[in-house]
Amino acid sequence: MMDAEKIKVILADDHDLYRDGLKLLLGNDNNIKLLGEASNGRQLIQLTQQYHPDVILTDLSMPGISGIEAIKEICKTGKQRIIVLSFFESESMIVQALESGAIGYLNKNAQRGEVIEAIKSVYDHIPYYCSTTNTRLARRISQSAFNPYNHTDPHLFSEKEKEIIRLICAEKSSEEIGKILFMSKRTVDGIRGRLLEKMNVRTTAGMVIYAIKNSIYSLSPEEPANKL
Amino acid sequence: MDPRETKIYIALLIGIIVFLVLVAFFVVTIIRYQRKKVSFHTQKIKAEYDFLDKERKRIAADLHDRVGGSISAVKIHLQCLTSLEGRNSEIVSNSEKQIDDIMNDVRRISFNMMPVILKQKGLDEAFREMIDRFTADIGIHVDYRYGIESFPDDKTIHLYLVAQEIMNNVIKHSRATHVLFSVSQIKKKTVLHIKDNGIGFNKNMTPYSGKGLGLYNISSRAELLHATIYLTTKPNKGADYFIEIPV
Repeated sequence: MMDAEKIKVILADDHDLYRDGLKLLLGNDNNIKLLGEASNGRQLIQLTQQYHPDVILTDLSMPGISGIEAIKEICKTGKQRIIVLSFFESESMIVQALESGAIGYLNKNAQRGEVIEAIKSVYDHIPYYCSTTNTRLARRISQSAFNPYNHTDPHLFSEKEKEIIRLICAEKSSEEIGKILFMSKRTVDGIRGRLLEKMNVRTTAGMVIYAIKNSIYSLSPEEPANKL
Repeated sequence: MDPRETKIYIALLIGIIVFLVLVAFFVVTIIRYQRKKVSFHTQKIKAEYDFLDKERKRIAADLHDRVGGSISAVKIHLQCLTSLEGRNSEIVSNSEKQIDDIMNDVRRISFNMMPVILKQKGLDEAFREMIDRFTADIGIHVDYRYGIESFPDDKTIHLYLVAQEIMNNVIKHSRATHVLFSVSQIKKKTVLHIKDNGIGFNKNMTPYSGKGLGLYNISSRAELLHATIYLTTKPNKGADYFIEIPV
């Protein structure tokens, strides 16, 4: 592949060993070209202004200017395709990073293939949440100011599909959904795959966020009170 | 009156006064000593906890930054190995799974030691996250309410850890399905109220058992908050922790 067609990436992380690993991993992929690497927020801002990458991968906690501050600064001049990397950072920091302008989230404990998948997804302007994003975090993201999804045509989904979306949001497995709706697990899985395509999302977390943002599924503001 | 008799009365009166003064002095000294002892005791606990909390913070941060970072670095290096076949592929995939387990342990231990979020986002968010973590994998429903406007900064860690210790007890031992967890303002006091519908326990039977240690931790932390703990529990009747903290 010609260099010009490759996805140009900049990465920032203060952990040298991790950054080296990431570099090696990106080097293995013919579609990606690493333009530069930073070990703090200030360097990341400089490199971004200098090289205008397609995709930025950044850690959140770095010395000096943090990842979140850097994201805010970088997004001042217009939207950028940013993926945040986090390990221990709390969920609220991830939400904050997404509100600040990132559109992808990768846990540093991401599974094989996820890093590359995230870069390609975000390059195509499709939000990405890695597989460790559970429904709980997805709900929190959906309640935040972060909203990458345009409003959908209400007729895009059939009633049956909406039913399945709601059950997925309620953390039901394909098997459980099958039992509730009298379908086989395979049918549910098939519909699930079609839904991911229709919504243009990659993971279940993406589906939950999409569904809540488009009012297909609603969270009750207060969980029902408990009988003790 | 006979002058001699008067003298005796006066002497007696002086004697009684001297005696009373002595008694009063004695009583005051004892009270003072007790107060000093109590305040010394509180100071000692505070110093111990300050030290302990500092250490916890340091260990949590080291785990977070060094160990966590290195583990994820190893994992990403492993992911660079491509076109693996047969046994090699199996070995790598097993190693990746083991790394995940280690990572989860590190994350859990570090968070339990000192939640970074407490300092960044305050009590409300930290409580939410703690409850989320506690309930992530088990079918327990926590009804969480937070209704206080502020809480002194230097004391948040103690309140947080008291709540964590209680939640630990609830999750580990109570077998509850519902928990009420509320932080509220009642008159001039902050109230932490945690109530479960679990199996309860006999308060008198636990002082030195494993669970007793939890209760000891709760009460000594609570002392630093000058809090009053009301614990109501009986076997099979759930447990109700009501903790009042003067503000």
